[in-house]
Amino acid sequence: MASISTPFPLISTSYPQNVHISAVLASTDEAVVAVDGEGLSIHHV
Amino acid sequence: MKFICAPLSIRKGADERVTWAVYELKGGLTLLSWIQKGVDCVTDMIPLPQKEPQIQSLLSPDEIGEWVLVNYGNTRLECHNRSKENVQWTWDIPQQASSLRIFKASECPPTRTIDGHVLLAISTKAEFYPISPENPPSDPAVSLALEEVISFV
Repeated sequence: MASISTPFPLISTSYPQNVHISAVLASTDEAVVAVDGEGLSIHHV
Repeated sequence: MKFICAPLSIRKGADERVTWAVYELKGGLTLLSWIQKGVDCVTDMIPLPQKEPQIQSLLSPDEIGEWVLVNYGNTRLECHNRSKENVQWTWDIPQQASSLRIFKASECPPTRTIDGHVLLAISTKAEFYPISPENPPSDPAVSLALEEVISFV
């Protein structure tokens, strides 16, 4: 399970199909990312 | 491991996040809850026996994070708790919805007098159901034609 981090930009046209992104509820600047085969991570945006 | 829909995450204070996700592994579906509090991490996994209709989204009934609603194709909701394997309740949505959203009732003019949270189901009309983790919705508290909803935007 990934820890909270910002390893790469969130908005990119190069993202593959196997990525799901949604905004974190009750937060103004975070998103949660699910990557097939890798796991979940939360990022500041 | 393949994620079935977008994850659901809730911020609870400066250093705590509760996150839910559904993934498929070796043909089985698992509902995952992940609590990250500072450097501490707790995960729970609940097997989901049913694969059809396809899971479309995860919804939070109260923004607390203990419970999650699994949305099967906008036709049925299942309420799960992260520490229980059994489903708390299931609810067949009376009319096939094109969209489901949950929000605080106080934040929306048509539901301002309702306590707690409401589920908005958009079909041929807009129906607002009071919702809680304890019991499935019953009758809509408010039902509006779609044209009436637009007047609130």
